[in-house]
Amino acid sequence: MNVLKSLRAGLVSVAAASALLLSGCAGGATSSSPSSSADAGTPVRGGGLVVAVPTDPQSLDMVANPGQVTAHIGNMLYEKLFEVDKTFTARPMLVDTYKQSDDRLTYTFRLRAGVTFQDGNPLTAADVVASLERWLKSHVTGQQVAADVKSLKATDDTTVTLELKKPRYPLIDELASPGAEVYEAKNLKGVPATGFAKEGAVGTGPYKLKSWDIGQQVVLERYDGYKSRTEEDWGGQAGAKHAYLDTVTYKVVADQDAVVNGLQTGQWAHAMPGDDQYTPLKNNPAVVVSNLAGANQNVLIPNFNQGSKFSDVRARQALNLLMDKPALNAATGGGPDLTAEVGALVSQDNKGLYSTAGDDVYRQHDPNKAKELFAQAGVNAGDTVRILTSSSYPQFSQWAVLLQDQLSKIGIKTKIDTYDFPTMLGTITKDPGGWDITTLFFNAALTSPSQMPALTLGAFNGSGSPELAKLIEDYNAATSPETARTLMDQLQAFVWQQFPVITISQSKLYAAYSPKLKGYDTFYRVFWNSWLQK
Amino acid sequence: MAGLLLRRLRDLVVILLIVGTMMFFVIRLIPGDPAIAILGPTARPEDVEALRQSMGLSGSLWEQYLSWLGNVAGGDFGSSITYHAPVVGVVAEHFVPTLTLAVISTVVSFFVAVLVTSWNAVSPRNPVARALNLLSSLGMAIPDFWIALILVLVFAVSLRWFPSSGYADLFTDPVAGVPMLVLPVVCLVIGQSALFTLTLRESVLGELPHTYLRTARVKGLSERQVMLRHVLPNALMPLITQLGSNFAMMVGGIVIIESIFVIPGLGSLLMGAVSTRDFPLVQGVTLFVALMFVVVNLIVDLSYALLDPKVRVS
Repeated sequence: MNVLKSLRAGLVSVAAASALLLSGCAGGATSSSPSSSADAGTPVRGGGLVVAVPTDPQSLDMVANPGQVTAHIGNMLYEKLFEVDKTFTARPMLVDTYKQSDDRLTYTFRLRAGVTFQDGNPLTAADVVASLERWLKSHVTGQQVAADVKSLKATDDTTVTLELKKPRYPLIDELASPGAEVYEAKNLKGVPATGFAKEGAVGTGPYKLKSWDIGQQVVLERYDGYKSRTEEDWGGQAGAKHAYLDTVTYKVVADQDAVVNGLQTGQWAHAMPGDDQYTPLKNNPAVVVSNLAGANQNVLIPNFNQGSKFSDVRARQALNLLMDKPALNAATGGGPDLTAEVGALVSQDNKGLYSTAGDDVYRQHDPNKAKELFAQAGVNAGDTVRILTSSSYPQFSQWAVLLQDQLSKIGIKTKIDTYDFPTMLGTITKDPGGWDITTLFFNAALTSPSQMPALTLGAFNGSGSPELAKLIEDYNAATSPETARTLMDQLQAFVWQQFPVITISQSKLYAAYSPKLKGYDTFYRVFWNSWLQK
Repeated sequence: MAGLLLRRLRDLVVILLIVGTMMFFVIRLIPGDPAIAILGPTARPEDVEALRQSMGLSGSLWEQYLSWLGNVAGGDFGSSITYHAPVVGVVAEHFVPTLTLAVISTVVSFFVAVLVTSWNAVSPRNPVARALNLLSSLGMAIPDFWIALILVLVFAVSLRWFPSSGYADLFTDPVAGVPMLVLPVVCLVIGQSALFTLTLRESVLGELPHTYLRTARVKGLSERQVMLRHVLPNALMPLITQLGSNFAMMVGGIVIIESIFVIPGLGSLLMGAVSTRDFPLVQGVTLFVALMFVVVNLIVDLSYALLDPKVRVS
């Protein structure tokens, strides 16, 4: 599953943030993109684009490192059998054609002819098998798929056959999710769990790795042997990819002020600054600001484990009723342009999975009723609720303080412990019953329930249950989009009945970039089909 | 001299052992598992354990410590968990920017301090010299980060004279590297030269009443000659001490300046390593910084001997 981090973060970076910012299956562009290809003029070949990123990628292995920066750079380097288009629909990428057997148990993928890796070697079925075997074994999404896989083999040099134990409706969507990239088989031999070194960062994408100065920058250059698809209108990560830019340099800039200053002075032409920079940048005529597709899901996570009073569903219901979500969002969100007050598990751009089920529960706010339910669950006035939060993401501690205020109004005390992010995770893991509520955000640009953190947090907060597992299993067994949509509604409704997470809002992402950057599809940090105006 | 070197070498081993051992245990006693930090809260326990093993974090704390100690004794500082590269290489890459910044700003600050103090001593009534003297106190009072932000706002964002941030190696790309270093160096020099000036001024004032200066003047030396030949060499000792400790602290990482000017130095490396629980890297950086402190102090001690005949004799 993909959990999103934001960064880091600059920081920050941060590998802690890597844990949250899961990769970018995300995609899609706002139709009003100021530099969309349609109105951007004639593409210009050449030039180097400099892009600010908050942290060093630390690894370019997308199985070992689910961080956002790794994913965004990796999308330029690698490709999968399928990629998502701008509506998050899976489209063939390395696959030329594929067929599904009548019993839906056997998939036969025929690879496109003439595709080569950036070292010149041809793409073969053996490369696909080696990559997917590693994905099934080591990636959090692949591991869930693996339970249904009977065999995976290369039938010949260009054909891969995947046999399932039972039908799996979202299989193609999952093959289009981060982690399922195809690497050269020879580079995967003996790779440790920490991932391959930069020598292994060879894919079939339109850009190849030129250099990587640790902690400073990653430079990609055009791969002249790239074989593009022909579909020009799919967008997102799918379809035709034209490498107009000679180089794309991802420069590590952790400090938010430095990010904005560099944008204004032309040191870099693209950045994804923090929410508090949105309005000043929007008002700056020298910079173009556009919302990106996808979103982050901001959540409070109650503890289901023994030792926490929130193991009682009435306490979780009470917490949802108590939370004044509009007030929380007004105090910590980035304004209406960057905040969606919805309780969905995926972003609104994701047409296939977006649901409004449970929205009525999301919007409930009744402190008196909350107090009653808390009392029924044994949380009475004078009792103390333990909130674990992190200073690594300022909004986390802001949510905690605002929640403290709302709890205090009904007489419940709180103890807030604020740590850096790894310490927060470590504390939760070390003492599963020693906390009541924590704060996180997830990537909400996802393609199947198996990637949704709200449904897979069992090991983290004890929220797994046979009912939830059954619903996910039913979704995987769906036979049509209509059935899948109904089951997605049921899954989301279940979340708003049991509250494995309580969604505060969804945060929309945005990019700020130079007006000279043309053809940019407002698709995170993907810059094929982009060029720099002379 | 040889005795001094041997004593310092002995001290170095002891200090590195103490620092290394302390850091080994302190960083591991803080809650926070690097494997969870990488894999996230939804990872399966078996995957977390596999990654921990792959990182060499399995076994008891004592087993890990003894293994680490043995490796370090053999010159193996391990590999960074996040950078997937040997710790020595990662530290070396990040040390160059920090060292460049520290050396340039310290040298410039030293000469600024000497010039301002000499001028002030030779021409105590000169209004500019007096104003510079007063500005030293102001330079000490203003925080580095505030100066940095103002410099960026004025000289990068408004006037566009220099880049707002960035780093390029001075030796391989001086055309790009010099402009990028101007603002951070100026920022560091303002505070540092103020400190050096005040230190040197105090020391010079202490030398001025001495009778040997009267002898020098009687011999017909000008005030400038008296200052340069007699006062400054004698007044430099406290400044050398100050310079040494300041330089060692800068080599340890100038986190805020590195962050504002996006310089990939040791300070930001250590911050990142702590936040990701990159144990080998944290240990490597702290050992390296401890080593730098000892080496710089040794150089300061040796410079005493060069500057002061009394120390040489003793």
